[in-house]
Amino acid sequence: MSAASVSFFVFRTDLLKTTRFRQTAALASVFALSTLLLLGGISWRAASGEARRIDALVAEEAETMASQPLDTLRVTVDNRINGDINRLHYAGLFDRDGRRLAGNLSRPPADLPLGGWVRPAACPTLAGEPPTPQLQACRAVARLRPDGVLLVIARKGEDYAPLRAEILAAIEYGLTPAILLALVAGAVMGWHLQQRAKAAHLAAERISQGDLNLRLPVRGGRDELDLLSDGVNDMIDGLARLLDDTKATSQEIAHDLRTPLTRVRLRLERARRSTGTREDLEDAIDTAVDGLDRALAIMSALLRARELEADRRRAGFGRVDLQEVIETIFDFYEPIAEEKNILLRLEKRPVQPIVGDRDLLIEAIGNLVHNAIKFTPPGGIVTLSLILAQERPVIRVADNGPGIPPQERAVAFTRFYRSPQQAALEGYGIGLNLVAAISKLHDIEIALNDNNPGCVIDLRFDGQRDWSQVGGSGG
Amino acid sequence: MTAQILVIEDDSGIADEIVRELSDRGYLVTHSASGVRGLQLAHDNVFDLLIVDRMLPEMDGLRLIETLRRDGVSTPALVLSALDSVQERVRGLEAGGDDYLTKPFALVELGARVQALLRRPVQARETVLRIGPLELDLIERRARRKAREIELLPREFKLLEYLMRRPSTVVTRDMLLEEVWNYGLAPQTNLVDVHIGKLRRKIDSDGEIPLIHNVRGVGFVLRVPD
Repeated sequence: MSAASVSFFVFRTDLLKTTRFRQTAALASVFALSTLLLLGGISWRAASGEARRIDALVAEEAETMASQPLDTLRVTVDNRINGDINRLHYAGLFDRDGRRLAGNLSRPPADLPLGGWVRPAACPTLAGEPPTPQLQACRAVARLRPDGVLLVIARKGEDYAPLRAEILAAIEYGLTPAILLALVAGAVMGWHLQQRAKAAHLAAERISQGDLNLRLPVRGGRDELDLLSDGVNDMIDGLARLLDDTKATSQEIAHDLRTPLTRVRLRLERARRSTGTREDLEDAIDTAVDGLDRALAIMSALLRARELEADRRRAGFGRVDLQEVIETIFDFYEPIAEEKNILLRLEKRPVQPIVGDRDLLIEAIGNLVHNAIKFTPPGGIVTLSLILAQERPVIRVADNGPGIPPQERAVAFTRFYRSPQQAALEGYGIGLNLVAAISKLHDIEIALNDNNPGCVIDLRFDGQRDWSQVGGSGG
Repeated sequence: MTAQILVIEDDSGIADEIVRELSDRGYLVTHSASGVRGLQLAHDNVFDLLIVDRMLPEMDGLRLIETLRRDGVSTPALVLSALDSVQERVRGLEAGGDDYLTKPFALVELGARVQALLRRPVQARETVLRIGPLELDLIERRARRKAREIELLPREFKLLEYLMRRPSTVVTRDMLLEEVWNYGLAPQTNLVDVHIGKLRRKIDSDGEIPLIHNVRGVGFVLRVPD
């Protein structure tokens, strides 16, 4: 058996498991049941209609015959019986003592009242042996004539069988093909859907094996399957972006680690071969340790940026007093600025506390202040201020250094950006990227502008921030 | 008396270096590679310090410390961990650890922290700290070197207080950042050096015997010559 036929066979048996087929089968069952109910209803209605018709005939006959003279009546009764080749009719004439005068009933049906409606009764026929005559279900009526003779007219009760047979035949010839047709339609639709599901499954399998350029097939009909595929495709887009980002990060890490590690390796190799003094060796080891520290620092900084980007650090969120934050930063960096002969100024006004991570905010703003001090030439001024703009707290770091050229502003906050102008200054180029990550975590909007000369960076806090999530009362 | 230290660390390479370094420094070191065995040892013996790796097979380092604390063993514990987020540090301290050191660490940093943990700082009951010619009045917020009044900014005051509570004990930059600035994240630059430099210029004037010393590659120490 070839692979193709095996898979065909597998799919034929699988077909019975498809949702569409099952739905169709269920629908067909419901359809069959309702049809049966319908035909049953029709049959019942028809049978009862037929019964009413017969009852009316029997009653009319009895009425007519009751008024006939006795001799004529005898003949009429005999004629009625003799002319009934189907043996459907019964009639009987009985005298006051209950003796049979004419007809094919051995005696009047028991419990049949005189006069009144035609009703079901057990007609004692002449077919059985007396004294136990054969009883036949019938619909009968009795009339007592003025001369004391009792007239019973009846008709066999079970003559709807042909009608039922007709209806059963209708079910057999009409309903069965209808159900079969429904099942076939279900199978076809099921097969069609199954083919689409199979295509999607194959695509998903290849995607999971790493072919991230592939997407689930979409027919364009905007049906449920298309909607689902669209959703999954969007998800794969997002994952692919994340993966690209991660890949880029690893490449960046690898690249940036390679440089210090290569330096360490070369330095150690040279030291191993040299015949220098103990001091030379110690020097080489110190350089190597510095290089390793640098590599480790890069790695931790990158991992932290990644952690921040993944929004995992909100656990440390609480109420933060921005005045305290900038005072701490000022306190932290003032001696550094002083050492470089830069004036660090602090300007602040009271603002509402915000929700955030104090340490991360200090790190982000500290980074900006640090950069400003680093890039501003001696004699310059760096201003750290806390202001309110449109009722939103804004932390502003302004300097009168060289500034960031407009064409570099868009990329300044991306990972590893280092201005070519500043390449000579030490730094890993990850500081501003961390600032961006921390800002994103806090819903802070970063604005980078010209200070003519210099650079001014605004961190705008979201004034609408709902901080009911943090315990304590407002204030 | 020689201090006794129990090191619970499953990585033999790291454990070897720690044991050697601490032995070189004159401590009596016991090593256990297993958390369960380490817990037993800490229970059955009296140690002056525990060094516990955060992630141990069989038993998590933090659970080990929690268990000890619950059982009333209050031996100071230094937690070693490769997890370096602020939350992890907080968790480590909440579990009953007394200090938290992130891998990779420098042996000198480890040494300084061990020394600091073994020599508990001068307790806060004192309202005036006196180390040699230095005097720090914690109530009046005044500092003096002999008769000379020293003007200190609040942060410098806190820095000097930290050093004076730990005389002759080497403190690292990270320790200062954590304790004085309450700042759990490593800065990129020589921030601490600049602050110490500023404080030193105020404490050690020209002609006076220097009291604040740099310890190369480690940190700083406040020491009064004998």
